[in-house]
Formats: sequence, structure tokens, C-alpha cells
Amino acid sequence: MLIKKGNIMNKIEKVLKTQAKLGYWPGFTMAMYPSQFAYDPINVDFEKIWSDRNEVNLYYHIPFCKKICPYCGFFTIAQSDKDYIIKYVDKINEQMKVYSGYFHNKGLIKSICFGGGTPNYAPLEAYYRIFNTLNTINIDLDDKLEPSMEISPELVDEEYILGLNKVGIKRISLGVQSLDLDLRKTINRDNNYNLLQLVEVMRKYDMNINIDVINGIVGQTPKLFMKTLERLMEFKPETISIYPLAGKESSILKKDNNTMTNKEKYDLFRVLHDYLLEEGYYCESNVKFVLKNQTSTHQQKIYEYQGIDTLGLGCAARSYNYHTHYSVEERFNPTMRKSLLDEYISKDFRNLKYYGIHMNEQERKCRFAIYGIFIGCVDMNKYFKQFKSSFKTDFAVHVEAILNLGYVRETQNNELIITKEGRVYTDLICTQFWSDKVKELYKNTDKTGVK
Amino acid sequence: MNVKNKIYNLVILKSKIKKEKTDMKDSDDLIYDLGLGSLSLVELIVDIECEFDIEIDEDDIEQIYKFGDLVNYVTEKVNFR
Repeated sequence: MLIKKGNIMNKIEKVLKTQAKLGYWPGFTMAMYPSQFAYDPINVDFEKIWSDRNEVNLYYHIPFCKKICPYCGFFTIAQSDKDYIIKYVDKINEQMKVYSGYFHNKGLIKSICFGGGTPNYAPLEAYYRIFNTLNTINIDLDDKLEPSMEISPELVDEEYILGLNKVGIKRISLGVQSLDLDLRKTINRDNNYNLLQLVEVMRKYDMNINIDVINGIVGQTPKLFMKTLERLMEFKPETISIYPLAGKESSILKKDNNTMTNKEKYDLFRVLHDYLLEEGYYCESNVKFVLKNQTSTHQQKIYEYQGIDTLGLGCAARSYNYHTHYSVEERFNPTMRKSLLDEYISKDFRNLKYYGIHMNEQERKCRFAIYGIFIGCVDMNKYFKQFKSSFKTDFAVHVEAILNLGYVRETQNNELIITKEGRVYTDLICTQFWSDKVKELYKNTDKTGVK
Repeated sequence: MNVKNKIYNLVILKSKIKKEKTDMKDSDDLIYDLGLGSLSLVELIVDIECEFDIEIDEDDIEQIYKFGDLVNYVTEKVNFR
């Protein structure tokens, strides 16, 4: 405990208060825990780690794009050869067939998500093959399954949407990023589509819609950001995802006059949070708002927060298994992407080189805490049931800090519920729940993930 | 221990570049010469606030780039506490 004259403030409380005061932001590192900077080369015993898992999310990584966007840090490649894409998809299906033999008691698929890359850059044939495989292997599909696909709105037409509808896609996540024409140019996005017309087509085929928007584009002001949100209210998508442009830690000292400072972004969050709540949304996490009275959402993330494993399929897809997190990804060396893809297509996936982390009890506890905060509720009864220890004992100083700062409130049901200020500083709070090992690894990276 | 020595000890705990006390110059840039990142800088500020029982103003921190700036700033704060 740190003693400060006049009042007692623990170290975590002090750090969080100072970070907020200085406008520090650690980078968008909370979408998964442990983040990739904690990965090392590892051996993965696929059969063993999946043999006690029954409920599974499927994430298909489709890395192909027409062109590479300057802000994108994902494993992507500009590839127009449709035969190559189909070969890749066939390999994914082979991979899935092997995995389906590993699951405990016939795997139950809780969610399916196609991300990328630009999944709609692949021909429809790719998805016919994928769903055909899923329908013929020894797995069950959950009744509430809402297969979801990330779509680039510049590259889609009605025929393609109809095709997706036929194979079983029920939710489209549109990478709109911004509706401001000048800002779109700065991030290399075309302005060749009419969003409202596209929405009309998707509604015609009963597709649920998510819109991805970005904050932190060079030249983007809080006012311009809100204008995009206001235009989205013309058709009220089921979910709105708001991601920071840079996934990297940003300096508290240097300021680029053309980009919002972290403090401005924190203030903007307060404004957009209140605006979207007034418009009938609830805040599911600090990056997602969900329209009330409907059930569509990003199922994979919700189930991950609830402790369900995710199986990543395709080159560079990450798998978040109870025992091990892993990927073949070497994202920080983009020159290797094509050779990694070639290798993925030509080899048995079990013989590839993997990076990842073997999860121990401490990392699982941290993950439980972080995902609880991210989703807005830490269920301390559930924690006790899972770990046979008290959350308040294991994270005594953390809990005291976030309660004192008003970032969470405690309920009579033994839950910690995140407050609006807690939402503002979710990324900061979550870093305090990292294990010592992960904190140390973070300090030793250059924040692009390279150790 | 004087203010400068105490700050040296706190800086060296956080910096990636481990300089001997005699090699540390007032003109050393906290980021470029001493290898402090944003996270370690925030942690350093917290440590300094705790050690000297002072509050470092958010606007002031944007003016502090060098080791010597930091020592002078803290010395002033401590003297006027």
C-alpha cells in the first residue's frame, strides 16, 4: 500500500488516476488476453488440447484484399487469383475436418465468423464449400447460430449478398470506417457506394448489420466523428463497433495537431456513449454498442467472454483454447505473408511453426477479470466456482482501486458492474489486471509487438 | 539523499538504457537517451509523486523532456511544498 498524506491510495489507484490525468492510452490490446506480444514459439498438441472441449467458436481468416489499407495491421495480402483463394479455402476445410475429430462429444459450434482481410473478395464458391463441409462433418451447429462476415462495402453487390444469404450468413459487418469523404480518402477507401442502398439490400435478405467505424483518423475531429454516427442513425444498425485507428500505444508527450489527443478521444467516448444510449443502444463494451430489443451481436466475442474457446481456421488465425493460445502468424514481418500462405496451402497444418502461450491458472484468472471488465460485469460468484478462490482476495488491490475511482460498482449479487467512467478507461483498467509476466513482456516490446 | 540522486534511482528502475550515475547528463532526453516509453514514463511520474509527496501537473509534464528538466521541476515543487 502506498501512503499518501491525508488519504490512503493504493498504487494501482494512483497509477490509473495518473494515466487518466495524463491522457495515456496503452493501445488496443484488450480484444484478447494475453495479447500477441506475449506469444513465443511453441509446440501445440492439437488433439490433446481440443479433446476436452465441446463448445467452440469458429473464426475463419480470409486474408485476401483488393488492396492493402494503410491503417490495417492485420495479416492481409493483395491477391486477385481466385484459384489461389479456392485452394486456400479447400485447405481450411481440410483443417476443419481434422479438428472435428478432436472435439469432446461431437463439437457444438456456438458461433461462426469470417474476418480478414476482405472476406467478400473471395468468390461465393468459397463459402459454398465451407458451409458444405460444416454440414457434412461430425459437429452440431447451435440453434442460435448467427454466422457473421466482415464485408468491405466498396466490393459488394446484391447478387453477392443474396449468395451469402443462401449459404447461411445472417450478420454482415460493414467496414464503413467513416462517412466523411475527405477522411475516407486519407485512409485509402473508395467512395463508390451508397450506404443506404446497400443497407436496403441487406435488409431485403434479413441480414443483421454491424457498422465498423474508426476514431483517430488524421484530420478527424470529434464533430466529424459524431456526424458519421448521426448518419448511421438513419437506419439504426443492430450493432456499431468503434475502433481506434492505431492499435499501438501512443505517446503522452508528443502531439500531432491533425489527430485527436487521447484525452480528446476519452472525452469523445463520453459524448458518443450518451448519444448512442439516447438513440436506443446499450454499451456492450467500450468498442461496441448494441441496439436494444434485438439479439444480434458479435457472438464470438460474447461467447469468448463467457469462457468458450475459439478455433481459428486459416493462415494466421488465432486460436484461443483453454490450454493454449496459438497462431502461425508472423504479422510483424509482412514480407513473409505470401510465403506463409504458400506454406499453409502446401503443408498439413499440424506441421507448421506456431507461436503462442500455454495458459496457466494465473493467466486464466487474469483473462477472466479482463474479459469481465471489458464486457461490463465481473461475476465474482462465477469466478469462485471456476477457480475455487475469491476474486476480491486474488485481486484485492485492483478491486479497491477501481471501486475508489468509481470505475465499477458492486451489486448485492456479488458482481462488479462497470460504470460509464469505467467504460472510458477500460483499456487502462484492463492493463492493471495483466499478470506480472505479461506486463514485463509488454515493457520489452517496441509496441508493434516485436520483442 | 538529495533530489537528483533519488530521481536518478527512480529513472534507472524504469529506463531501458541503464546508465551509470556518473554518465547521466542533465541534457539526456528521457525518451531517446534513457529509453523511457509512455508507460514507463507514467509509472515514473507516479513513483516521483509518491516519493516526494507532490502532484505533477498534467500541463507541466508536456514541457519536461530532459533528465535535468525533471530534476529542476521536482526540486522546485519540493521546495515550495
